[in-house]
Amino acid sequence: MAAAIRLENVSKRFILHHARPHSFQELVIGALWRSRSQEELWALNDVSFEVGRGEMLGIIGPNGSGKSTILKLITRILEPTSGRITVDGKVSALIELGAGFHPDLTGRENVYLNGSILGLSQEEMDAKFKEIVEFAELERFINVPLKHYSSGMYMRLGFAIAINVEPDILLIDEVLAVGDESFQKKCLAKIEEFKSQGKTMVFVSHALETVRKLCDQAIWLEEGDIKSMGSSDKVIYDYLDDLRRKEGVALDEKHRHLRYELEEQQLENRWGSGEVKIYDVQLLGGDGEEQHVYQTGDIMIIRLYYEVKEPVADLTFGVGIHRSDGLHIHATNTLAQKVHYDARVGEGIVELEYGELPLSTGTYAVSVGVWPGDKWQLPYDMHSQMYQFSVWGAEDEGLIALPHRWLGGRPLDTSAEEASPSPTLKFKVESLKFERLPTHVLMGENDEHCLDGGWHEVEDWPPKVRWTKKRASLLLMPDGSASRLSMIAWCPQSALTPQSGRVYVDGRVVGKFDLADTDPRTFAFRLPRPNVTCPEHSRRGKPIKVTIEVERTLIPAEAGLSEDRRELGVAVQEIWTD
Amino acid sequence: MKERILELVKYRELVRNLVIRDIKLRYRNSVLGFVWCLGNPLLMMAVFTVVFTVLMPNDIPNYPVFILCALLPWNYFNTAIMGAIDSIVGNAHLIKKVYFPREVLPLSIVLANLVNFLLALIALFAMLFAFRVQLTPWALYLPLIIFIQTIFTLGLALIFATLNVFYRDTKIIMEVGMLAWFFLTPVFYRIEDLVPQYARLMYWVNPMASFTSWYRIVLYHGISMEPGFMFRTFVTAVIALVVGYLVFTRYSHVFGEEV
Repeated sequence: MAAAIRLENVSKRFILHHARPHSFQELVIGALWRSRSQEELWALNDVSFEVGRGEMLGIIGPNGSGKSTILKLITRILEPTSGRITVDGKVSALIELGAGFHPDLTGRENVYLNGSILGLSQEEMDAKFKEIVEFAELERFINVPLKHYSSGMYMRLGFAIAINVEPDILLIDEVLAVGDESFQKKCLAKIEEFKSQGKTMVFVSHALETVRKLCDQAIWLEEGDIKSMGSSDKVIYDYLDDLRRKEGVALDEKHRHLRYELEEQQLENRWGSGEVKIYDVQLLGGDGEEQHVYQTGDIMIIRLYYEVKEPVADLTFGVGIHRSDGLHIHATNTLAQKVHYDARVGEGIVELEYGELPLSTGTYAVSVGVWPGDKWQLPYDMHSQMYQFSVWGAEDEGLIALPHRWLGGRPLDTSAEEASPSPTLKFKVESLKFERLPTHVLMGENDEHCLDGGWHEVEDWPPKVRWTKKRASLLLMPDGSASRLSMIAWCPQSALTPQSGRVYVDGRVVGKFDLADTDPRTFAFRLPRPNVTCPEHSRRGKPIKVTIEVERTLIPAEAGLSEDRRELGVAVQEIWTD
Repeated sequence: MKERILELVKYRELVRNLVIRDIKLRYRNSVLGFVWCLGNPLLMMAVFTVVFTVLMPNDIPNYPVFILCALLPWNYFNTAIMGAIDSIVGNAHLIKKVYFPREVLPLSIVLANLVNFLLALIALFAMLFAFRVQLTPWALYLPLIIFIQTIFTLGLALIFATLNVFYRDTKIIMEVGMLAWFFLTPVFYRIEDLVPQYARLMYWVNPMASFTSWYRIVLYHGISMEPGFMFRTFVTAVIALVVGYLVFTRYSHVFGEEV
């Protein structure tokens, strides 16, 4: 794939402005005394990377890391101090919307002026004018001078122009951070559209979630150096890990400081009467090691080190979790849990374990506190959102990783009969918690609690057998090592033609079966591998839904065989995992 | 060099739109609007006429036409240079955010002032007609004179625009500089009124003296110009443009971080 953008050993040096003469006076003084020191700032050091055609690259990093400098170099607003930049295609930059807008000109005049600043000809602008105005939703205001526009209208117009110049390469710098929600959605939709059209894009942002969602590749810049480069998942993970580690170090120092020198000084996010002090807080992983980045479902242990300085009556410890924007997610305390702690003078440890952290990707803060009894308003010591950690989640979005599973879908029109409640439908998802599902089902032997829809009554023939309708399901609880699903089945006794069908596990096809006659046959299917993104989450403890679907069903009465009006699919005797 | 010029040609739409913007904006919020591009030079002419015929009488015939012939080209030069000085620094928000050939900015300022000048010439011709000054075929030189003056103006505009990016004093100094230049250019007096050796020196060092004289020669006097004199001025103008362009392109790549 040909590269659309290529940077080879690019460095960029800025000479800081206060160090150079800006007027003749300074120049003269500088020449006389030779005292001015040249202060240099290397915004980029030997940076090389490529963006392939149709790729979307995200650039992340703290402020001042050189992200915007890269964009400006690509657009040629700046020139590199050394190195080479090759850009193949027409570039449009969403660096600042409406650059060059003039308040005294009307919307229409500004559209044309802005278009020509971006390098478009009059004819091209004529062709796109209508589209731009429609996208900006400014049909009624297009002949009004811009000074009468609201800031939202102003931005919409700027974005509409920049996005409609049909660039081959689009550079986006944080513009999505502004504007109301519906406009942001529109912008994102347009970016998605560009992506599907195979345009090359470079996206600079602090919004890691957005970068992760949109970009295939990412670069993490820090002080002009590339710290990590590769798939956006990997880069963001590295970035978060580093961020937490650094902040962890900073907090530890802060602690010592607090404990030995500034006991009495109240910090903005720390207060309390001081009889009991929480002097250190550690976030630990399941292995007991300090950890600041977790995966959804990980074990997290919050360990509080406390010191009781004066004897107090009753200690209650509390822990709360907030999202980075302050949203309160969870809080718990030892009083509510009826856990008691020794309140003698001295030091101690309190630990809180979250068995499965159900949080999605994001940054979170922990608050801890200790107070007498239920008087949390009068704490001995309270640390508000002082300890950060991040979570690296699975594919799911949102705040909480709710435990869930998808039940296989089916088309509505073919299941008119199934829509009527089946008499054998005993199993409900809610009852999962209370009933232990078997790994092995022998039909007719107390199997009611694991059968889902689509089965007929058990028959005492040949030993015990159940008949399925066109589609029938049951639930099994495979043990951790199970890799196969096996089934003993045969044709309905009265079927005159061979029978065939498919077996699904959790809605996914695992295999086919063909039955020629009424002789029992054993079929084995490979179980799908458990979710690879969370390897430590084996299949253990998660039920599977096995669905049998046959191609044709038979109704014996219609075939003139008997009075039996059941819809017969396949006879099943046993199903098990091993 | 060739690439840069080709790129500039590619951006001609931008130049055009900037020129249009400039002209539109100049009179947009005034009551009389467009009338001002005629009214303004006529009012200035009236002021000079009152001062130099009533308060300080002189023997120049048709003084209003005499002054207008030189005042309009001077105004064109003055507004173009003062506008262009600020064209890079004043458009910092654009320079920092969008790439386009930077010479577009001073160029569009000069061209916008050229358009304004051409419109103002209507007032001049009206005055010529009112004072029954007979036009001669030499007036056909006018487009050539305007062209050469534009070349010269553009060259200086590029130099001063660049200088102002690095030393903001340029603009302040030039405000006084242009006033001095105005007095050193025969606008409200005849070059013959000067001490002869100064008159010669002025032709040598001040191309604006040549330009204002030209306008007077072909319009006010209606006589022919000396070709050698014309050629020398033309060469001066071309040198100014080439030097201006070289200086500008030499430094324009750092404008993005200096403005």
